[in-house]
Amino acid sequence: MSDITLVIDGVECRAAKGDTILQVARRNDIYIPTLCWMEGLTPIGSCRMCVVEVEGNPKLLTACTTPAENGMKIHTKTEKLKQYRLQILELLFAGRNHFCMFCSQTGDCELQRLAIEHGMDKVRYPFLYEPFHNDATDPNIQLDHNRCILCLRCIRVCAEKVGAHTLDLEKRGWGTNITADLGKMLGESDTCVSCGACAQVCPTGTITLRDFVYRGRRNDCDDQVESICPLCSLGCRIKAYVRTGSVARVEGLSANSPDGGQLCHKGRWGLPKSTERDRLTAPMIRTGSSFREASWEEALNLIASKLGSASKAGRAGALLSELSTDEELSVVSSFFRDTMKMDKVDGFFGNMLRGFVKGFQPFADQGIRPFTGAHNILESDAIVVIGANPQEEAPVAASYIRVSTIIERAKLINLSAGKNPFDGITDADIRAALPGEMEKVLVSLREAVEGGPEPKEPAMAESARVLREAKKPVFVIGSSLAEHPSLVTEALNLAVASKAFFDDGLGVVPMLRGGNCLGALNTVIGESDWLSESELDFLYVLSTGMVDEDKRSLEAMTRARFVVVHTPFMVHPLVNMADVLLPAPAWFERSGHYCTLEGERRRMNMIVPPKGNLKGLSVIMDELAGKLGLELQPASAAPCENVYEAKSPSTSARTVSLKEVR
Amino acid sequence: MTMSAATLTRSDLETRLLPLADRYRGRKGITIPLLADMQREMGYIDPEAVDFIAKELDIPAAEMFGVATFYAMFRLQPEGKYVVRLCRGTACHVQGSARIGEQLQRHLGVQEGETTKDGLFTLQYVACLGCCSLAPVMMVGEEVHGRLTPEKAVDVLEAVRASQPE
Repeated sequence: MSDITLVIDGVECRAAKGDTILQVARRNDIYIPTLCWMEGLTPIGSCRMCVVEVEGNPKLLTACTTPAENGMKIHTKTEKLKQYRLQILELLFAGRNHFCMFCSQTGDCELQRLAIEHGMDKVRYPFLYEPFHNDATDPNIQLDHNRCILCLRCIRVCAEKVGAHTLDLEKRGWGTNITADLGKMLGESDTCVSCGACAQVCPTGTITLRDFVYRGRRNDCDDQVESICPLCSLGCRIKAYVRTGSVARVEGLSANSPDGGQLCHKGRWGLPKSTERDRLTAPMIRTGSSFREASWEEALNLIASKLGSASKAGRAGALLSELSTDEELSVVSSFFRDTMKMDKVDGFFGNMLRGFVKGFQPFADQGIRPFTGAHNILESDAIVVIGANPQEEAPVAASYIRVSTIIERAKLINLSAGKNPFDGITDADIRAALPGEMEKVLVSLREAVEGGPEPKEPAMAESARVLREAKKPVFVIGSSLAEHPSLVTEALNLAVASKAFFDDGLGVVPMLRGGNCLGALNTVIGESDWLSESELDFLYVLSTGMVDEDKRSLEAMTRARFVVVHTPFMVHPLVNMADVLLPAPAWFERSGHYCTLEGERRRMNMIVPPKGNLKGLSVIMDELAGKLGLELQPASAAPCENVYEAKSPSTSARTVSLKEVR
Repeated sequence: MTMSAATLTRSDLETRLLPLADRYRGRKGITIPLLADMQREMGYIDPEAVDFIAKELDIPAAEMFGVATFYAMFRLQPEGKYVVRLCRGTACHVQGSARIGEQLQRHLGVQEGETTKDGLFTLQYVACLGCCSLAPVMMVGEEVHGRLTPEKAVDVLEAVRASQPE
C-alpha cells in the first residue's frame, strides 16, 4: 500500500495512491483544521479551512479533496495559511447569527472551537444581520438557518447514509439555505425519517435536538460510554454521554462502519426518553388494587411458594424479552429449564422466531447459514423486499435499502400485501395477499428465474428479469412472513435460485424484531406456542420495558393466576397484570452481549450504575433455587454460539421442495 | 405561455410528463435539461410535477428543487398574462427605478420574480431595455412605458387591469 512518499511539514509520509492529503496527514498525526469535511462522507472542499501550500504550486489546495502525489512537499502551518483561515472564519461569523452567548451549542461548536484555536479576537467585516427563519415545525428537530454555515454535512449524511435525501440547498448566494423536499418546513417533509443524523453531524447550533439541548454539552459530560442499541436485531453501536448520573445524549458511534454512525428514530429518541420514565426501585407485592413495597426476602418467598406448587402441576411458565442480554437469557434459561425442568419457557417474539426457524430449517439442514448481515444490502445490485416494513422493523436496514437504490442504482422490488414501504423508488411493485397469493408469486418468480415460463404480468416479468441479471441480489423478509413458515422457505428458495450468495451466508435479511432474537433462539424460545393455549398458575415475565407487549402475551398474563413481572420501568398495562413486581436494571444500567443480525456478538456496556434496591438476575435465580431446595444448574444451551453456523459455503445451497418440507 | 395554477390531476401529469420522463430514464447528469423541458411543457416548474418526475426517475425531489431554485431561468410559479419588466440599468437606476420597484412590489403584493394572485402580472427586474433616454422605463407585456414615477407606474398597471374583459 505504501507506493508513494511525500513530505508534510518536514515529516516524510508514506501513502497509497488515491489517499487525500488530509488522510495522509491525519494518519501521521499532523493536524489540519477542517469544518465541512466529515469522516465517512464525500469530501467537497467547500469551507476552505483545510487549505495547504504545496511547493511549486501557486494555488492553495484543499487537503480534503486533493489526492496526495509522490514527492509533494506540503506545508500546513504557514503564516499565510493562518491568515487565510482566520479570514474565512471571520467571514463565516459576519454572515449569520454566530453570537455564541445565545446558542445552545456554545462549547460544543466546531466553528467556535476553530475561532478560538485561530485566535479570532475580532471580526473585520460588517455583520450582515440578515434574518433567516428558524424552522421549529418538527417535534424533535430544530433547524435555525441563522446559525448555518452551509457546510452541507447534513445534506450529505441524509443522502449518503440515511438515503432519505430530505435535505438539499435552495437558492444561491446570500439567500442559500438548507431546505426540505420541495421547499417545505422540516416538520412537513414526507421523506424525513426523523433519525436525527443531521443534528449529529451539524458542526454549529443550526440543527439541534430538543431532547439533548441544555442537558449538558458533550465537553461537560462526566463520561462517554460506548454501548449498543438493543431495540432491533441490527444492534447499532452507540455512544452515550453521561451527566450527573443520567444519560444526557445518545449518538451513533462510528462514521467508518457501514451505517455511517447513524441511529434510527427508535434509538435516537427511544433510548434517551426512557431515562425519564417512572422507575420501579424496590420489590412490590399486590394488595387489592394497589401495591405495597416489600423486602426481597418476602417477595422471593412468595414467588418460591407459588412457583413450587405450580411447577409440580406443570402449570408454571416464563416469558422473556428478546431485548435481554445473552447472559440474562442464560441465567433465566438455566433456572427454568435446567433447574426447574420446565418446558414452558418462551420469548415475547416466540411465534415470529419459531416461524423463521421452521422456514430456515431445510437450509440449515444443508449446513447453510440462511441469512446475511444487513450491511450487505449496500453491496447488492438487486433488493427484494418481501412482506417487510424495514422502516419500522429495523430502520437502519431501510437506510441501506434507500442508499443502495438511490446512490448505487440497485434495483428494488417490493412484494407485499399492503402498502409499498418504498413507494417512489421501487422498480417493480407487486401486491399479493398472504399466504396463498404470495406463495404463488414466489413460486412463479423462482420458476422464471430458473428458466421456466415467463410471467405475463409486467411487474412480475420485470422482477424475473432483474433477478436473472442480478449478480448479488438480497432478500429482505418481513416478520409478517414468519406467520407462514412455508413462505419463508419459498422466499429462501427464490434467493437460492437467484444465486444470492454472500460470504457469510445466503443473501437473506430477516427482520427479526428484538435486539437479541438470535441469542434467544437457543436459550428461551419454546418448541411450541404454549403461551396461547395454557392456563397457568404461575407466570414469570422478564421485560425490558422498551417494547410494547403484544396481545398474545397480555392475554396470557390476564389468564394466569399469579404473575411476577420483572421490569425496570412502571410500564402500563404490564404493571397492572402483576401480582409481584421485581425491579430490574434498565438498558443503560446493564452490561452483557447481544447476538446481532450483523453476524457479530456485540457488547452492551453499563452506562450509569443501577439505582434503587436491585439484585442481580443470577442472585435472584440462585436464591429462588435455594428456597425451592434446589441447586442452580449450569445452562445447557449457550446463547449465540453455533446459531446457524455456516458449515458449507452459501454457494452450495439448493432449493427445496415444499412438499418435502411439509 | 400562460396557465393557471390549478391543481394538476394525476392523469394530466402522466400524459404531459411520462413521454418526457421516458426520454431521460436511466441517464445521468440530466437535472438541468430535464427541468428546462419540464418548464417548456408546463410553462413553469410545478412542485407536483417535480414530485411526479422525481419518483418516476428515482431522483431525490429535494435535489431537483435545489437546482430549480439556483438558476434564475427556472420559474416556480406560472408566468402572469403580462410580464412587467422594470429596468434596473444605470440610467434608470439614477432616475429612481429602485423606488418604482418598491412601489410596484407593495402595490401588487408580490416580490420580484413572483406572479400576482389573479395571474395578471409577473414582476421582473431586468438589466437594460435599451431606451435609456426614456428612463426610468418598464415594459408591460410588449408595451414600453417611460419617464415613470412610482405613482405613474401604478397607474399604468391599473389601466391595464381595468382594460381586462370581465
